[in-house]
Amino acid sequence: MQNLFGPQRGANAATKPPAVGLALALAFAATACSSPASEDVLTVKTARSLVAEWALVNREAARGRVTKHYADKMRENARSQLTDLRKSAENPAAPGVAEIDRAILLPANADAQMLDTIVGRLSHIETQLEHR
Amino acid sequence: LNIVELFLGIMTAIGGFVDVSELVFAAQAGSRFGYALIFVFVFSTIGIMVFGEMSGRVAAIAKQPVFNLMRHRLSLELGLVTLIASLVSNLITCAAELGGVAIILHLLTGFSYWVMAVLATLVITASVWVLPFKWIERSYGLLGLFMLVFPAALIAIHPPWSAIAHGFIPSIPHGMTTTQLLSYAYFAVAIVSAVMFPYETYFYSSGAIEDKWTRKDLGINRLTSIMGFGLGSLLAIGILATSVQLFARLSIDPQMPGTAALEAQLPFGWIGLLTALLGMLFAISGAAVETCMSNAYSLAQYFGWEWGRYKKPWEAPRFTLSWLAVFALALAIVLSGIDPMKLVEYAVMFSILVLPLTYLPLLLLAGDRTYMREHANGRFARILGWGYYAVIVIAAVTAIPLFLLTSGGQL
Repeated sequence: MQNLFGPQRGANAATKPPAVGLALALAFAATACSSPASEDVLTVKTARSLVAEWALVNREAARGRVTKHYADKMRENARSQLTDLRKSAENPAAPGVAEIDRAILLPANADAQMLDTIVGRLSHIETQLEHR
Repeated sequence: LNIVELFLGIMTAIGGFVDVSELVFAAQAGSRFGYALIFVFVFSTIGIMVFGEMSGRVAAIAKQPVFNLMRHRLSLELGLVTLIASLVSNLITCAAELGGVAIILHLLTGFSYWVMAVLATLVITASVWVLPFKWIERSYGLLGLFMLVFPAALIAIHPPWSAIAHGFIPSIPHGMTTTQLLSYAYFAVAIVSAVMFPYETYFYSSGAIEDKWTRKDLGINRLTSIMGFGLGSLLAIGILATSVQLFARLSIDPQMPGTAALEAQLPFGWIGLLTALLGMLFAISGAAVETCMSNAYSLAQYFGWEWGRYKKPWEAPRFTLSWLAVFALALAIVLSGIDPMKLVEYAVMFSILVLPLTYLPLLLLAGDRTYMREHANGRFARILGWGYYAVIVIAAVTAIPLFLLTSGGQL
C-alpha cells in the first residue's frame, strides 16, 4: 500500500499542503488508535462472513441450483481465506480461532447446517467483542 | 436528435455503469447498513451527471479534449501533476477491473485465476485493437445489460419498497457504535469515489471527440449523462437493496464479485447465476477498457500526440503503445499476487485522493467563456459543480483516516 500511495502523496503535497497535512495527521492518529481488540473483531467478522458464504453455497449446491465450477471455486476460496485468517491469528486462544479451526477441518461439501452452527457461534463472539 | 443513437447511448451507459468497485461496495453496503447508504449512491450519481455533462460539453464546444485544454489553460506543472495523479489512479483501477474479470472467468470455467487473468487481458486487448471506438464502447456496454438480472432479482424477491424509498432520504442508522459509524462514513466516502471515478469523465469526453460531437450534440450529451448515469445507478442501488434482503439475514458481508452473483441465483437458480456472472464479466471488462483507454487518451492529449481509435493503431503509434503498456502494467500488478479485492480498495482510496485534482481543471474549463462562449457553465451548473467539488475535497481529506480507523471498512 505504501508503494502504491507513495508517489501521489508527494504530488498532492505540491498543490494542497494543508489538506494533505491534515489527512496525514489524522492517519497517524488513526494508526495509533488501532488495538488488538479491533484486530480480534476484524478476524471474527471476516470468518463469520466467509463461513456464512460457504454455507449458502453448499445449501444451494445440494439443491443443484449452482454450477459445479462455481460451487467448487467458492468453497475453495472460502477455505483458503479462512486458512490465511487462521495463520494471521498469532494467539491460538484469541476469540473465534477455535471456531475457525473447526470450520477448516470440515470437508468442502460440509453440511450447511454444521456451517450455520459455526456462523452462529462466531456471530455471538463478534457481538461480545463489539460491546466489550 | 437521432433516437436510435440516443437509445443505444443510454443503454451503453447503463450496461457500462457498474464496475467491480461499485459491485463490491454496493453489495457490502446493503448487508452492513441496510438501505441507509442508498442516498449516497443518489448523491454521487448526480455528481457524475454534473461532471460527465460538463466534460461532454467541453468536448463538443471547445472541440478539444480536457487534457489538451488543461495544458494551455492551466500551468504545465499543475497539468503534469494532474496527469500523473490520473495515470496512477486509472492504472490501479484497471488492475482491479482485470482482477475482477479473472475472478469471474475462474468461477465460470474453473480454470486457474492466473491463466484467466492473462487470457482476459489478451482478449480485451485484441478487442480494442480490432473494434472501432463506437463498437468497443457499445459491445461491452450492451452486453453488460445482462446485469439487469439484478433489478429483476430485486423485484422477484418482493422487497419492502417503502423501506427502500426511505433509503433515498439522507439518514444515519440509529444505535451504531462509534466504530460502526466510522465504517458507515468510510463506505459513504468509498461509494462517492467508486461512482465518480475520474476515468469516467476522461473516457466520456474523449469518446465525444472520437464521435465528432458538435453543439448539435449537446442535447444527446445532457440526456445520455442524466439518463445513462441515472439508470445505471438504479442498477447499483438494486444490487444494494437485494443484498439487504438476501445477505444481511444470513450474516454475509459479500466481499467477492462471485458472492454478489448469488443475489440473482437465489430467486432464479443457476440461470440467474450465469446471467449475473456474464453481466458482471462484460461490465467489468468494459470498465477495464475505459480505465486503460483513459490513460492513453490523457497521455496523448497532454503531450499532443496523434490519438484516437478512429485511426488505425499504427496511425497513432504512441497512443497505441500507451494503451498496450497500460494493459501490460495492469496485468503485471494482477500477476504480482495482490488480492484483487485489495486492489479494489486501493483503487477507490487512491481515486478519492486524486479526485479534487482531476475535477478542478474540468470545472475551470467548463466555466471559461474564452473556450466555451455562451455554453460556459451557467449559475446552476456552477453552484452544483463547486458544491460537489467541496464535498469531494472533504471526502479526500477524510478518506485515509477512515480507511485506517476501520481497517478498510471491515470493522
